[in-house]
Amino acid sequence: MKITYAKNTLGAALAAAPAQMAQTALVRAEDMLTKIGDDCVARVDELLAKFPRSVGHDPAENTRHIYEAYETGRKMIGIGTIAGLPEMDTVAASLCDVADGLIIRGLTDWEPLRVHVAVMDLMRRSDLPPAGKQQLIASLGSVRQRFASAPVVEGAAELRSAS
Amino acid sequence: MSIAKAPKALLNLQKTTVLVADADIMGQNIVVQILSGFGARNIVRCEDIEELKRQVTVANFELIIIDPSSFGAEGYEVIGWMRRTLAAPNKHAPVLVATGHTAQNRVGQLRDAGANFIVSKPMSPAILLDRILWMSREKRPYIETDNYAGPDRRWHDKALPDGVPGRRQKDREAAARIAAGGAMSQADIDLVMNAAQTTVTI
Repeated sequence: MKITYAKNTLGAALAAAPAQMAQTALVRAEDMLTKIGDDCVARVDELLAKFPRSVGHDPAENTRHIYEAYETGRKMIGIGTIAGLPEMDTVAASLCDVADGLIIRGLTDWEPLRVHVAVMDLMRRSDLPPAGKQQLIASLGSVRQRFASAPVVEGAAELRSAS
Repeated sequence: MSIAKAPKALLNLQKTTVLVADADIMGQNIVVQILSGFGARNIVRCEDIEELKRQVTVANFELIIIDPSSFGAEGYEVIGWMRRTLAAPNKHAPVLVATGHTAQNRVGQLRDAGANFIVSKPMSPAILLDRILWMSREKRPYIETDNYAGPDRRWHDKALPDGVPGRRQKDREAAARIAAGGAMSQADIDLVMNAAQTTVTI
């Protein structure tokens, strides 16, 4: 076993820079993110359009759809929040949990993912109040509970989106 | 309390060269916007593994932020490759993994990849700032064994409970010194605390 006590080059680079309060850096970063808000909305819609709306019963075809849905959902996580659509991140994370569970168990049922895509469509196309959005997310809880690969921790998705 | 919320915390990435690796351009953009807000001017973007490997062999980075899941299996393997193959300082550069979702069959790979920190997307500026400050103050040694290369995963520098012997060679040596009536020597303290690179092979 080799143990190395390396120089902390990040610490040295920070120490060499002019002083800037962390709070100022945070405000500037938030400002920078608002500049790409519209691009993020467009990206969320672009990804949303990639989910298939009509899927048949061919197991091989469905497996391909499930893998692709996982990839699309994974790409969406993180963009929704910057787009001002944090609930899309929450549903995308749930979709990934479920798709991963289906893949691990070798299941080819599209229905658990169809309900996720339907919820995303509803959130983007309707003027739902926040309470309505939360109800829709809560309605996905049982689907997630049944199909997700890892045990679902109560409130984990909300915590994740709040961070 | 997070470091970022400490009233006197400072952060400016003006002198920091950062590598951002994410196969998804919008994922890259989000991290780059945040880093720019933190003052970073030298940001190198990579959207494929080959480019990442090329960059880390031609330039030095003080911070690497990567979403391994966006690159598939290679994304997890490349961190270990950096830890084992590169020369210092990139070999020991702080690596922050920012991942949207980790498939169950990749959890072990992610844990053993050799990253300094793992954060879940969505990643807020406050979370990123907090993790950068943590890494800038880190004094964890880098460990290289047959099946792991990266920062010591024994995270906290807490004392062991009374009566529990430490398992590391260093623990045993320190225990022997204390038992012999001595405290840690200055060399021992320097070994842990100094900023210069030191390598110990056991």
